[in-house]
Amino acid sequence: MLSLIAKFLKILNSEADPSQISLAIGFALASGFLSFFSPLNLLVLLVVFLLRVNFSAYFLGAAFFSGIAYLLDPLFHSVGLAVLTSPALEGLWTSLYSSTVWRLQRFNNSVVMGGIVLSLLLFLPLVLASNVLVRKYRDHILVWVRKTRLMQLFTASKLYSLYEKLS
Amino acid sequence: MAKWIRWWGLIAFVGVVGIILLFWFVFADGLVRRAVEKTGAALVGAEVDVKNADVTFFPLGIALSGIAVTDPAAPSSNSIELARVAFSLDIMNLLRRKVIINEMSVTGVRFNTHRDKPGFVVRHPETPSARQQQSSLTLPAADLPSAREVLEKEQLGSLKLIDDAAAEVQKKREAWQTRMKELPDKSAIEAYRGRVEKLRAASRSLRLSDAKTFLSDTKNLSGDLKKDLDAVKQTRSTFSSDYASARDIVDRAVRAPQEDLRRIRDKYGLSSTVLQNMSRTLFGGAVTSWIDSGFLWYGRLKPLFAASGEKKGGSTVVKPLRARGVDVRFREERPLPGLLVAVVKASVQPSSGTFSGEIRNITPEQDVLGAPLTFSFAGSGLEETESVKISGMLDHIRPASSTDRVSVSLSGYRASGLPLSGSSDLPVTLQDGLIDVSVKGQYDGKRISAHIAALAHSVRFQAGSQGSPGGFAGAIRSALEKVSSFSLTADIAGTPEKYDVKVTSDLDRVLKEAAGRVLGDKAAAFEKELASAIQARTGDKLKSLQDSLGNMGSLGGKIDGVQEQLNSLLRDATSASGKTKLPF
Repeated sequence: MLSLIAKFLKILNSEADPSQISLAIGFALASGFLSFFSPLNLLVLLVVFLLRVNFSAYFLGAAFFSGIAYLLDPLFHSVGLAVLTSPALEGLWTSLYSSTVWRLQRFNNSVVMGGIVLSLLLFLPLVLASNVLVRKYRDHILVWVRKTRLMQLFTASKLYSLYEKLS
Repeated sequence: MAKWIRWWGLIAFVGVVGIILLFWFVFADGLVRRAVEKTGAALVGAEVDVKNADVTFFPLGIALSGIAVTDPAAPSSNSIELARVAFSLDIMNLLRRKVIINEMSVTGVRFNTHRDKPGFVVRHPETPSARQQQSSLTLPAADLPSAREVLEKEQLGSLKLIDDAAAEVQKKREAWQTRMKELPDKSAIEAYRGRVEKLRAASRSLRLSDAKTFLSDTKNLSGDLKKDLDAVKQTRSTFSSDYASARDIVDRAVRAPQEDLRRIRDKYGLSSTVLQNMSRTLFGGAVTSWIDSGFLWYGRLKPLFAASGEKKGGSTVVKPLRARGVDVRFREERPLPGLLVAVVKASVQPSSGTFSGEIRNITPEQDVLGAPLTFSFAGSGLEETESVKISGMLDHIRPASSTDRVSVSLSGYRASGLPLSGSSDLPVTLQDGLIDVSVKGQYDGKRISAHIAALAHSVRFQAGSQGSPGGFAGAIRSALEKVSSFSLTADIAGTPEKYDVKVTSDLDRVLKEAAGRVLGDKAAAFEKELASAIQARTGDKLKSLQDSLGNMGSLGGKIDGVQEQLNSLLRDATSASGKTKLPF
């Protein structure tokens, strides 16, 4: 746990652009909420690789949001079922149901659909909010964090040296 | 723009996807094996092992070998073992998440095999129902309680009835004793007699001047006598009716001890009903156990042929077998079920003979396919059976009016060590025998109806151990030892939770006679002792009641006496006036 916090602080304290970090958090949310081996998740992964988003933030966030998704299964189910059984959307779902790509996505499962819907709804607000928070953090808290014992210990570690070399 | 794009990321992505695909190719066998084991365990409720899985990609096919399904009721054995299951998959339909298997071959099927180590159980099977427990062989108690012990526990209804009757008779008797005082008593009779004598005397020396008075006195006397006589007759009639009612009450009270005797004897003794339908007692438990076991497996396998979908508008909400949440199914242009095994060709490899068959249309969505699941198996020259035919149909095309039918025909089934009753009182095993059995059953989703007919010959029963207590067990044992053939029919009707099994067999007569011989003497002795104990308690009261009725009856005699005397006086008065010689 300490290691995870340290890694996250390291990312926040790095020279990475706040937009790259916040975008990574947004994509991490989508990856965590979607099924791991689904076409949509592969698309998200492609975007993450293509755009200059922060990898560390993405993978760390994906692990975090996967855990959250597990806890939110009942919410996903309720939201997904409501959306899938909405009479207004029945025509759309019926046409998607005939498409192999969408069937592969398994969009007609209530938990999967709930994950898709909540990812779409939360993506933009989360990106914007995290962008603001990262900027505020760097402006106001970073100096104090650098002086913390935990951060000093971490920056003195071999793992940090290795990361410094690779990044 | 270039600031935001990293082209080398595309290569990295291809690399990552390649690694994932490579992972799938390398570990596909293990992943499929684990998926089958997990799905199987969820379905059956116990550990399912797959020794090996072989996935081929071009064309896509799967071959599983060494499948062992743990029996949830006996985890140290497998309920079924399959040497090899192989099938190919339609890849385009698979991409659309439809598992369509045109033909599946299953070979090397074996039942009830031993496991090296017990398998885990996910869902323990239901404990035997109360119905099943009741159907195990319960012998009538060989030692009956003493009459004294029984009467300490039982209340005699006859005692109250006799007391009530005594009170009623006494009340009636006392009422009549009071009413008797209203009848002409001895002095009144004497007064009448005096008047008659006076008339007689007057008639002998009657003068003309007295004739008018004489006639008037005669008329008055006759009138008085007739009036009293009518009143006495009316009283006699009322008394007769009242007495008949009292006699009925007393008769009921007299019969009551016999009714007590019958009731207590049937409760504690060995009534004939206990000895009736011994075959139901003997075979009912086994039949019930087979039916319950059949329904247990029917329930477990039901998700394979009957989905429990819920219609919502134009879509159907279905709970998938393993995945989380629910699947919502929408209309398709060319509808196909999510899972369909068009044909399963199965062959068992017995030590001798052949046994094979096929199952068609395994799908949880029969309504989509529009065809029911059918199965048909046949075997001949088997080690245990000369020939066997099993066929049936599970029709759930319209779930609201589903119909399941099964027909089994076994010819020359060599029964060996077939347990019929596990009762500790009298365990019965069909040691050897050749049996022809025919079973026809139907289930409409609510009610079962089935008929079983069996004809057994060359049979040898083993009933009870040498140390089995009681003469009853001994009698049954010796009777069964002499049986060499029997026929049996069983009719089952009701719901899966509560059904009735009616068993009839020519064994009934044999067993009833044997049991009756042993139990007859004991039952007679118990009944005799009970009768005398009841007599001891009720005898005095009954005698007193009957005396009381006798006393009441004697009042009738008294009324008759008064009536007779009045009649006699009336006759005398009439004759006195008739013999009178008038003086003109």
